[in-house]
Amino acid sequence: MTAALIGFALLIAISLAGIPIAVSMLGIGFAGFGLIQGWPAALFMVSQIAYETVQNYGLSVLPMFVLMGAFINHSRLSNELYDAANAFLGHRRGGLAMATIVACGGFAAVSGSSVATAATMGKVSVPSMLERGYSPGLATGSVAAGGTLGILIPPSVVMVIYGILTNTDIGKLFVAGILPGIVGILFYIGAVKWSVWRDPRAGPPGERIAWPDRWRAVGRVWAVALLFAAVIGGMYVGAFTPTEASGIGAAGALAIALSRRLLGWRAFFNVLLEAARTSAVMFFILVGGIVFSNFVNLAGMTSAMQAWVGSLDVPPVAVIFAIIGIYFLLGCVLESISMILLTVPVFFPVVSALGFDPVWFGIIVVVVTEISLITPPVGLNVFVISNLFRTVGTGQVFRGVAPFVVADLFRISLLVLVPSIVLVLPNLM
Amino acid sequence: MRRDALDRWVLHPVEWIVAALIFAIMALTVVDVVGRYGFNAPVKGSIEAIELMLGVLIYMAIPLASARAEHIRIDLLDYLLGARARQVQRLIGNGATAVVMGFLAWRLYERGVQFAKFKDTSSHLDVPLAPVAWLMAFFAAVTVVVVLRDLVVALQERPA
Repeated sequence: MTAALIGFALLIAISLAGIPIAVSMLGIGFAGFGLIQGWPAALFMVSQIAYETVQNYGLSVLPMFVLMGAFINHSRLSNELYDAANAFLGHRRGGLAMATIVACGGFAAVSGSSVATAATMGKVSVPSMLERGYSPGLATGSVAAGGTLGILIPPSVVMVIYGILTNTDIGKLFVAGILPGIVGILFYIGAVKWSVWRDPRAGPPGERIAWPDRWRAVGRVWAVALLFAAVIGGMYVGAFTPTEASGIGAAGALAIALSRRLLGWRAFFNVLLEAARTSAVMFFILVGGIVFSNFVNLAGMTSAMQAWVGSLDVPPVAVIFAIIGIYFLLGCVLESISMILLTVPVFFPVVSALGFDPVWFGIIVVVVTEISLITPPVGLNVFVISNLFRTVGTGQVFRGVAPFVVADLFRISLLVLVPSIVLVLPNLM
Repeated sequence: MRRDALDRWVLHPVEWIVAALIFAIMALTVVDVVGRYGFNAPVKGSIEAIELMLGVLIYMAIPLASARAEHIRIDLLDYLLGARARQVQRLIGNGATAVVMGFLAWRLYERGVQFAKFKDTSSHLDVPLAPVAWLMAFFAAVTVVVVLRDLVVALQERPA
């Protein structure tokens, strides 16, 4: 237990010194494992993990969903999504911000990344909102928050990693994200309403669109709907395994990009490379994270935690809320994938010993990870948005996003207290 | 950025192979599904082929990601640090990455030696595994060269 805690402390310390997190995890994990179990065993473990992690058939979903997202980013679907959502919501006070949230949800249905969702939707929605006199805080806050839905509404890169780490069915995790994603959209719309109730000038209403035009705008997002239906629907009815669905999704996204004549040879080549590099970065973190978690397990952290939690005389739900609190703090410092790699191996056994559903806990972890993307000081989505729009300061975005963070706290409490919101769909599979 | 011999003779050709590999994984997955549903004839050994391609793809793409400094770091302190401290950070980061990547190259090479000793092959396609591990080891070693190059660049830079 002590060894593991020293390992964690060292990990944070040397990562702050500028060492890539995958490198720190691998180095400390190896050293710790070697000190406890002997060097031959540690050397063998590293060569095994370095070789086998990258040849895991189940993990080929990662590069494929990354590739799907990269093609989608080049398809300029964001315009149509935003217009369609706008046609229904734009005439309300704060309507463009609500439309941004809904469009982010739609984009999330074909993208597995929160940062990509925020960046892509931000380029379309923020200029439009600023032009119509929206307050910069609400304009940027809504897209930074809406973007977080990228990892909750399937497909989701974060869910794949959780699924691999815990041997949880990735298809079920994906399907379990749908209803909480819709709840997330509704709560975020509530946050927009609250923002314009406090300051009615923050989101002036636009003009009302006639019904025929509304339906026409919805019709234009058929490509998104079709791709989501094929990939997630195909998985839901059991036609595809997650790996197959991810390959089909990437090919479908390529077809969409090609059909819109938005992909020249150069861009095509660059998209393939970008997806490959992003995947390499993820796998390297994965290799480091698995080495590190082997050390943490060996050091007895997991069993010590389990014993300690078992000895506490508190209701299991209190343990969950305590874990969520820890995630909230960690999320202020760590990037999402590394946070999940570091924490899930420790918390997951504790949570399953308490009798919680692994799929449900996966969704809880994803939602707390979403929150970490918009909380200071390192909320990644906030930085992505403020980098895109230099006129809006980071502080302004953080203030704008605050009501959405509050909405998230309500959402996570609801998902903890009413687990059936998460579990009803996957249990039908 | 100036392109040197490493870019021209190693990284650029690798880009083409990496792009081809990720496309091939996608294509093979689709062909496999179509074959299974359309013609009741899945591609034999497709899972194994995807696994082998994935492994090579990832290790070939790591030097490309390293060349663009895309590995994820905790950049919490970057805003507080001056140019000098950031340069030191870059040196430490690259140095540590070189050590760990060199270590991985060695481990993967040894893994290959083990495979070679027992003449291990993949179970369906009979691909000998030793060269696969050695290929991965080679690209881990290329990554060492890539990050050392950046380390030298960082050393030469005079912080403003």
